[in-house]
Amino acid sequence: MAKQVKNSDLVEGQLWQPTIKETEALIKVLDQLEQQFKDVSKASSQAAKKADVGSAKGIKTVNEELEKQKRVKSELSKVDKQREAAEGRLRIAQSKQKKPLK
Amino acid sequence: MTYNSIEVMPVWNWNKIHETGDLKYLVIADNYKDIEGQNNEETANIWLDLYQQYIDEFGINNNFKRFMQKKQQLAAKIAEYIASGDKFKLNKINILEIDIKGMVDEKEPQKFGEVVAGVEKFFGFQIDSKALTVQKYYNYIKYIESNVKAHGQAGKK
Repeated sequence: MAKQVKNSDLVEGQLWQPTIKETEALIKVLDQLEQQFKDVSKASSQAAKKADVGSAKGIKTVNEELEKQKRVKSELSKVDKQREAAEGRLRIAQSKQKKPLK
Repeated sequence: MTYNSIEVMPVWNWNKIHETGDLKYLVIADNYKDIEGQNNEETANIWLDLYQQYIDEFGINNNFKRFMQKKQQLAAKIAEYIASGDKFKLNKINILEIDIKGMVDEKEPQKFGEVVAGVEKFFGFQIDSKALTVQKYYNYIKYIESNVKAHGQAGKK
């Protein structure tokens, strides 16, 4: 016997549920990534600050850590853009979920 | 085998590493055309040690120290921006980047060949940069600098 179609199945929102779930998971991953970048940046900044610029090793450390900071800043900017896009998708999906089928 | 001391390493090799970043010039050889890339942790440490020997012997000038301190400040400022996300900190970052770029432009180094020519002119003898050691070369430079300072007219010599 064919499955009976319930009223709730006709609500468009159900179709958006997987998108909402996936996007929320993506935002969570991006948050974790951001935190990792922040941790790397903090440690790198401390290493650069401690380095003795009167020594060859210190000069090398400052140059390397500064490059690391620049890379982290650039990667973080990409993460921000991804999050912005994901949050936009999430808002759209959530608003569509609330609307009944026309 | 590699050079391990600035008392032995020719200034030609030293300069090649500064120009190219290629650590194959640490290898003691007559010809470098057929030597493969040597940039690895071991050679990086040897280079670091040679650089430290140079610093121990000749020191670091104040301009370079200030330049490195600006880089430290920039690293700290970028970290502050990353931690806070405060976009106003980007202004300070831009200012520091401009300062650093300005310091590099100001410190545009003279070409190696030109410096060697100047040293030859000053002392009145020819220099074989593949035979002259790093230590001796910088002692020549140091002597010229102190002479210029003392007389203020070395260029007329």
